[in-house]
Amino acid sequence: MQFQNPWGALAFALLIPLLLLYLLKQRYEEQTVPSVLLWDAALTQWEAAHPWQRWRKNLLFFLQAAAICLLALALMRPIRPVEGLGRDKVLLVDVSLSMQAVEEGDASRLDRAKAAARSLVETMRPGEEISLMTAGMQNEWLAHRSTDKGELLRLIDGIAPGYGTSQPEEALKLAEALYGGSADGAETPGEAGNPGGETPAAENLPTLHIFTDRDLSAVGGSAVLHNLARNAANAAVTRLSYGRSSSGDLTVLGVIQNNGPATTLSMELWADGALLDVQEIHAETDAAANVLFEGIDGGASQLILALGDPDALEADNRAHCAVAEGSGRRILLRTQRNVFLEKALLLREDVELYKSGADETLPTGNFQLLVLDGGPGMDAPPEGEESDAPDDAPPTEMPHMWTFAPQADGDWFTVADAPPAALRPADSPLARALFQHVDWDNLRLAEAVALQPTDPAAEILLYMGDAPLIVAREREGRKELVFGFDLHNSNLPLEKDFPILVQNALGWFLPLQNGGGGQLAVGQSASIPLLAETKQYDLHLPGGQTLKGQTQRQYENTILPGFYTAIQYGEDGQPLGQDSFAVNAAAGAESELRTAPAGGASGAETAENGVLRNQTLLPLFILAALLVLLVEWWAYHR
Amino acid sequence: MAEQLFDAAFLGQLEQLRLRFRGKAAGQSGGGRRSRQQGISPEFSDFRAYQLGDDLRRIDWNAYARFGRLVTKLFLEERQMRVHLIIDQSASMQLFGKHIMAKRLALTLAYLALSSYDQVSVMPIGEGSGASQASPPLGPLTGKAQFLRTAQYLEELPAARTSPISEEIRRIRFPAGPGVSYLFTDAFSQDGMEDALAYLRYQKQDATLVHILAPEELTPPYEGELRLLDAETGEQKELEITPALAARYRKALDGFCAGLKEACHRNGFRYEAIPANLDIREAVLGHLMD
Repeated sequence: MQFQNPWGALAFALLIPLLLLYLLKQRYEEQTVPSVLLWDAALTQWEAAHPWQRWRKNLLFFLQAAAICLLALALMRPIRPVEGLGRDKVLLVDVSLSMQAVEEGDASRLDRAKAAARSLVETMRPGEEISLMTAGMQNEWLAHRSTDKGELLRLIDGIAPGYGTSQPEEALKLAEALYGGSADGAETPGEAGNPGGETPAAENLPTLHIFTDRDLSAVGGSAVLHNLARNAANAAVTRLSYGRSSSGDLTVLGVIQNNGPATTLSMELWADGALLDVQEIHAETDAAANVLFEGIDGGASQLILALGDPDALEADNRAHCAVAEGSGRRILLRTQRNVFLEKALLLREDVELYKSGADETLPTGNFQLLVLDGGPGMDAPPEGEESDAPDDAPPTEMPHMWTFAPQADGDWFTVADAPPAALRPADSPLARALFQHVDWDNLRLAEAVALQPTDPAAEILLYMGDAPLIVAREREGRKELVFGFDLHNSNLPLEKDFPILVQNALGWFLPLQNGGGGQLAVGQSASIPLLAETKQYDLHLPGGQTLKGQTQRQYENTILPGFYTAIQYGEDGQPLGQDSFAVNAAAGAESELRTAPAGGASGAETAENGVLRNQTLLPLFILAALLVLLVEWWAYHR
Repeated sequence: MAEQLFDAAFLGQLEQLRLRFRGKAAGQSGGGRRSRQQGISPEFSDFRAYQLGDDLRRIDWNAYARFGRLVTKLFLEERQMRVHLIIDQSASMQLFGKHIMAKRLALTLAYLALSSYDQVSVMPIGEGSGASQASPPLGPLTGKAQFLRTAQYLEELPAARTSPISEEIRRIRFPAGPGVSYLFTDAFSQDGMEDALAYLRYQKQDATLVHILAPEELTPPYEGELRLLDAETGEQKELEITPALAARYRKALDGFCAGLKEACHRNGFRYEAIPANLDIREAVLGHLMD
């Protein structure tokens, strides 16, 4: 028995004045009588007929003391944990990655959990309300106080396994808060919440059944725990990464965690759906092992490292990785000096910025973007670039180019004088994408030139009056952007819009990639590297599902491991490009399957951990106190 | 003190009782009271001057013819009786006015007996009195002239310590021959009344147990937690007097009185229970007279 209000014990102090009352009351009034013979005879007869009268005085004291004790105990609000009572149940099903484990050739943990939940639903009594909740990366209410047995069974059957972690303790608190009420109003699905938070009577609280493979005995006796763990051994691919050599080949590194005895594991490397290599590695007991694959074709875009032999949990037997174009974005800035431009370029975290002057030797290595910051000699692509690459090495790709204030005609445009005039952005998708959040009204130019495209593929983005001031072209994957003014002769670098303009341009030149090496964990938010002229994209999910017409740059619902591919479309519906990222299962803590509680619960379907509900004993104590007072009244008048 | 016990009103009542007593006596064979020997053939005993109310059949006409005076013949059954007034002077009798009632009753009977030329003896009992010589008995006295002396004696009779009534009774020196005894007591004696009554019968006494009880004893006004002190033994009794216990007491008292009555009847005596606050005339006429 426990007490919710220990301060009620102060009422026991009332015993002190009661005792004093009896002690101080021991003053008899004296009365002289002719003889006590008859009183003696009367008392003897009385005590013979009522033997307890001898102790009457003491009996009254004890009855009154008992009444005080019972009232004090009632004030302390006694409660008693009760199992199995109550008409409602809350079923909490753990859908974390480890629940997919299949041990001893039986059904998976999740299947066994669903079977146990089904049995509870099938035996529900009329009027009984059952709530159903899953605990995964997020806790989700599937049913709230439902009396529909069929609906509950359907929901249980529809519970899908997750690939992330779970926190049943948080789900437990949520369930307790919802049924116990909370001051700030807890929300329940489909309901307005529980404002006011009146705590229901203890006997009305439901019994919480937790179906999990976690050891929740430390949570503290508040639910019926159905521990489904059977402590099987398991190995998992916890990490897959790659590096690109100077020749462009890939080196793939995998890390395998062995949660079990020492064993030999067969590791398979797949690239773009084709099996490239198989290696056998030895993993020590409860230790990690590495596997290395070298000389992988640099053109591979999707890598998969998988365990060749199945084990208890197959969902963590493979890891995915999307190969990025390069490890970082190398940008070469040819400028005499332009701190503003330099800072704006470095706002991108993936940018590796290299600088050179017109008369300086260019650094070796491939660059994805070349920025020519105007001025003499700054308008031509670099020539005579020194490279230590061998002569028979494949030619490197031409970088994208961003040119300011060209001095001479280019391959696809001509340069002419342009009188100052008002600036007017073109009405095109690329112009809107590049100039988003850029206000040209504040731009002041000291001098500018008109850029007249000669290539039909070129596009005018900004007019100064009628003269083109900013033009762009994309051909064979190479992008070029030309500004007809020198940044040094304008106030643009001083405007707050300038860094935005630079980032918009970089977004067009070098769209953002996801993750480090192109892989995320289940539940992580993915950035979709949209092109500037993308109207919408279709996202192809690992399960084969395709989400069409997407426009958001962030995708939150990465619940399945595998490759996610976004195919981007322009306004005319033509595909503009695609980008992939990989999502892997939470193969860390969830791969450790030996989580059954010690002391015999291993293999047991259920482990009693106490019940959520406490039965109040307050009415019982009050009734007992009233009965004692009644007996005391009767004894006094007797 | 004499005024408290024997005031003018009381004495006036005594005179009325005497006349009524004489009227009753005149209707009998003679003497002031009915004798136990009533029905036995009378034997001539003596003469006395005629008194108003005497039976005319008892007038000795020969003496009238000879002497010219009316003279009444006296027989054995009408001879002078010995009246013993035994007064319990123990501590219990001193409470609630019981001793006053006892003395008044004793004086009343003494007056009646003295007026009838009977012998009257007053014998207090209780340790320190009677045979203990602290308060020697009075009498035997004869004649109405001894009334004041008797009154004074009773007036000055002190309270006595407690001792069993049976022991005190045995110290009384009864004169030889039968007599009439009145025992005025509350009967609260440790040894009971059986032995005392048996002794009186042994002494050929025609006894009447006058059981005097105060209203406080008949219906105790007490309640709550009391420490009762026995006036005679000093014994203390702590108890809580509840209505139920008071009812039990009354039942015990009824049983006590019934036991005394039965004991008196077994010995051929009379039992009269007289409340201490009863009017003396009513007490005498209603309880002590036939």
